[in-house]
Amino acid sequence: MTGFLREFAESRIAAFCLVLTLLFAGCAVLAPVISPMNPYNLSAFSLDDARLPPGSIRMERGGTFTATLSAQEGVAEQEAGEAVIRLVEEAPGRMSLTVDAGGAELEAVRIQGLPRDASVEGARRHPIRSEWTVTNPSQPIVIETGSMTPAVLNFTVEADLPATATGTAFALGTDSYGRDMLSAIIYGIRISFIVGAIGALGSMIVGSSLGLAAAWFGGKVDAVIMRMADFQLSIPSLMVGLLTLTILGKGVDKILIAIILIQWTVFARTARSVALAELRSDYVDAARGLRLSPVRINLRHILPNCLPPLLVILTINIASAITLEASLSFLGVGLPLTQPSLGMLIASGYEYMFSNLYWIAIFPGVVLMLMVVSINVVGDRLRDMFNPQLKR
Amino acid sequence: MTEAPNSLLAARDVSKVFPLERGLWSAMSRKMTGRPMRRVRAVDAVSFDVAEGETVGVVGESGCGKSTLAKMLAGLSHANGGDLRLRGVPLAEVMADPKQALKVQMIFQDPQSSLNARMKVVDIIGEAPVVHGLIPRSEKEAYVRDLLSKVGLGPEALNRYPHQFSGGQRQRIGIARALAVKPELLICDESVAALDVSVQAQIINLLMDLRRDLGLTMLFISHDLSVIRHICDRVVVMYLGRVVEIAPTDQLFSSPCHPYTRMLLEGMPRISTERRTFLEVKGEIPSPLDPPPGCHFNPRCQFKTDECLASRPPLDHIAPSRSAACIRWREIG
Amino acid sequence: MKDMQNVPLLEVDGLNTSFNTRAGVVRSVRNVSFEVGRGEVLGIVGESGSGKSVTGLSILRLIDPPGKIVSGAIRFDGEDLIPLSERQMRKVRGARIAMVFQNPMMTLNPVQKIGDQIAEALTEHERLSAQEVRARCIAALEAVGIPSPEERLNAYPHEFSGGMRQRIVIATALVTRPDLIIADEPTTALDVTIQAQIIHQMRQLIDQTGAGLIWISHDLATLSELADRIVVMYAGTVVETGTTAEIIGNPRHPYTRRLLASVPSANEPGQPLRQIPGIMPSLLDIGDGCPFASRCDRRIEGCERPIPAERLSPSRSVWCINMPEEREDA
Repeated sequence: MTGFLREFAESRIAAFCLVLTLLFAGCAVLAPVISPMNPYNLSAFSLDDARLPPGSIRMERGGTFTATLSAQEGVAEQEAGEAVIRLVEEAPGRMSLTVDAGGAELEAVRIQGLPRDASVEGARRHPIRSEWTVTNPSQPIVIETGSMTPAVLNFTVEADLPATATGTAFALGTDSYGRDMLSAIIYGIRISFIVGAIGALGSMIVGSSLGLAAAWFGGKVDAVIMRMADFQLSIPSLMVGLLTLTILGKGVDKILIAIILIQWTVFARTARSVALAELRSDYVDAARGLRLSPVRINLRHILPNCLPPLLVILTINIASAITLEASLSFLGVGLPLTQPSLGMLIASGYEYMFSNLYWIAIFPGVVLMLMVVSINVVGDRLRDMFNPQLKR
Repeated sequence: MTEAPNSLLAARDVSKVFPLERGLWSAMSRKMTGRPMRRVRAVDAVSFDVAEGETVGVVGESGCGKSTLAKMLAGLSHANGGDLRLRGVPLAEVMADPKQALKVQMIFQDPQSSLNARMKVVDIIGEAPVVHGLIPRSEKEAYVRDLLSKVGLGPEALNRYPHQFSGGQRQRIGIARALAVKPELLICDESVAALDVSVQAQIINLLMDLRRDLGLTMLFISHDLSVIRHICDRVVVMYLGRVVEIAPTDQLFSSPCHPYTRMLLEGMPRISTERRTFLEVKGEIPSPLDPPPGCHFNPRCQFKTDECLASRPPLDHIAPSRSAACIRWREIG
Repeated sequence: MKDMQNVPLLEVDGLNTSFNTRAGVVRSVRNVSFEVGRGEVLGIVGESGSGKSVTGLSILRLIDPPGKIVSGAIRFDGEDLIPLSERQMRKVRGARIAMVFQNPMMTLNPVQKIGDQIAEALTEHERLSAQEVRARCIAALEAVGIPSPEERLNAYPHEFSGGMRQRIVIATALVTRPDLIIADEPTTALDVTIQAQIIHQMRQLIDQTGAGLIWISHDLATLSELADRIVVMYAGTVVETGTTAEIIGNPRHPYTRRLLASVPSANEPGQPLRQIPGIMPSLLDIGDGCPFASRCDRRIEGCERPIPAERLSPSRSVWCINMPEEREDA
């Protein structure tokens, strides 16, 4: 094994890509542990955080005190949590409101339900509702009721404490839902990697079995299986994927089915051609002469000898399965929005590309590219190593 | 020919024909034009016997059908015609019963490709006896160790892979694998051809020792007359799918009765200090796809008559346990 | 002016060829020396791994990395080939030294007519008119015994049998009228009767053309019928050289003697063969002592040190410090 690794590492680029691939694989496995947020927990998102650029600090929205005051002759006092809200008449038709939140600065105060002719000094009125918003309130807030102070004045006060910076930062920014991009990418790697690996592995199992069967039985079985593969290969793979998902619907399991439907042909063809060469070897005749069962001969004798080329194809097909899943998700038929894969993230960032919100699409794109390229380089290196003609 | 009382293997008019055309298109074109299917007779009505405990050599050049014959006898391919019997039981019946089928085992030519490169020696040798219930799984290692010592390998070989052995050692492993299922008839298909001279001697000695110790019957297929001469009791000479001569070894080498056997013996390289005078160039082996009419050997034969072109000469019984397929054997032998 | 009488056609002197592998240095050829004269057939005999093929390839400098000719001289017609540039070497290869390999399909191009392939070897080195090229090709095919060569020029390799293909390869080697032909196991893949024919023809050709021939083979019987002199190699070194009569009739190295005794024809039918126990040592980082020592029953103190050549006669050398006695019948 160490000899194998040393030989592998003779190509520096391949060694680097292997490390990168393992890093991505690590991300896939450890995603829940290492990602700063859980990007699937929709309730944790805040629209306040949407589309923040990379490096933004996450702000915690401050508390809000709400109290409904019923002022008699312009005087009222009401407790709201830890705050005390007081209304005092200064002059007829002019009252001052103080929100005493234990000395804390307030972010905004909203006053709702004032009579139509009342107004609040320095405040913005809501265009439809009777709501006045005071930003950066300087205490006290002055409420004017026009002519004179009404005998009874009912209204509601909402006072917001300012947002406080939390420890967490959005290293790679946020998307349009306020989802942390870094977490989304790590979980995206997880989904892409798992879909790629399981999809390609499933294709290998299905394809190799069919290929071995074709080689072993020959004749009609061979013809049927291989013509099926030929037919399959004449349809563009994205088309097969789109059709499958249109019929079956969205979901990880459906994507896996699509990948296996697309990729089994490559494995079947390779397994068949390698197995045909192996079948001519004397050891297969020896095994038949020893009356071992065909299943045993195929699985214990022939398959292990076919594995090296199949494993090379497996690595390369993991990369192509990842690309395929990304393409399908980008086209919107892949995974649901709630479980974004890298392709999905790219798709959702694509609409913001022209409004300078580059990070939503670029970062998942770069990660996807690195992942596909490094897996491919690893596959190429394996192919070189297993090719006896290049071996010395 | 009548069946000998202690006959282990009897072949009567055994043939193997391979079609050269396949598929719908050629079937249609044959139907339209009415021409017959093109085929090659790899083995053409071959008859011979192998008695219990005997070693019979099959000798011939490339394309003579000796390897096809070996595969049929080992049950790896089916004969198209004729009758093959093992102890009087049709071979097809024997092969249908796994326990009985194991009685015939084969030792292959290429020690490289005849061992599965991805299996350990202990599994290569021990797999079949365990699968067939000849030994319990727990005894596998001891059983294999015993077999290895029989073929001259130490117990350290158990957990190694084939590539860690030399060609001769691999051939020993191949022999141990065949012996593991307790065969009665061993078919050696060019089993020493790929080995170096000094290794060849070791393997020949091993096969002769095993034959003696285990009472094996052997069918020894080879192109090398000196090896055949050394270990065989009787020799079957084949040419282009047909048997041309069957004779006890010493008689075959001292007085060959078929012109082809003579040519083979004269062409056989000998270690000698004198330079040999060679025969004139006498043509190539014709293609088995298009054999000459009558006696297949006639284009290269110096004794050829018109009759040789007309019909296939029968395999005549010419002396006790001797037959030749030549109409002029009296003049030649 | 070189003295043509005294300079041997080819003189290999102290040749060492090694392969640097992952596992270590494989010393495939160690300190090999021999000569070939004009019109002489030199047989190199040895088992697989004896270094006989690597020696043949080294003479033509066809050793590819990781292999390397470490030291030694290869004097062809008095000129050392080792310092030559690759360009100069190309003029030597094909034109003056030709090589024939075991598998004819490795040499022949399956999609080119054999006439063109033979002509290519010729026009590569000589400027000739089309008629002359054709005439030379036909003559070469005739020389190796191909019937009706004019018609066969337009055939493709697959239309020939294995024996005929090997004849064509030999014709390709002959067409440039080389001074030396190196043939590596050229008849091993062929049937006995065909092999006998080709050996017969090679002998005639050498006698006619006066070229030198190095015939590399594992088969002592073939060599004993063809070669004038024999070089016996074992595990990368020469253990014995001499005329064919000397080597076959009276082998003096324990390996040669036991090898000859182990072939079936030297033994009583049905009796155990006088086998050589053990296996050839690995060439990986092998020492300079006698490589046969581990299997030899005449091993003595000193066999593990470099063995000097014992010159028994002008034609004969044996690399052994404890030779068996001469045979009485010889």
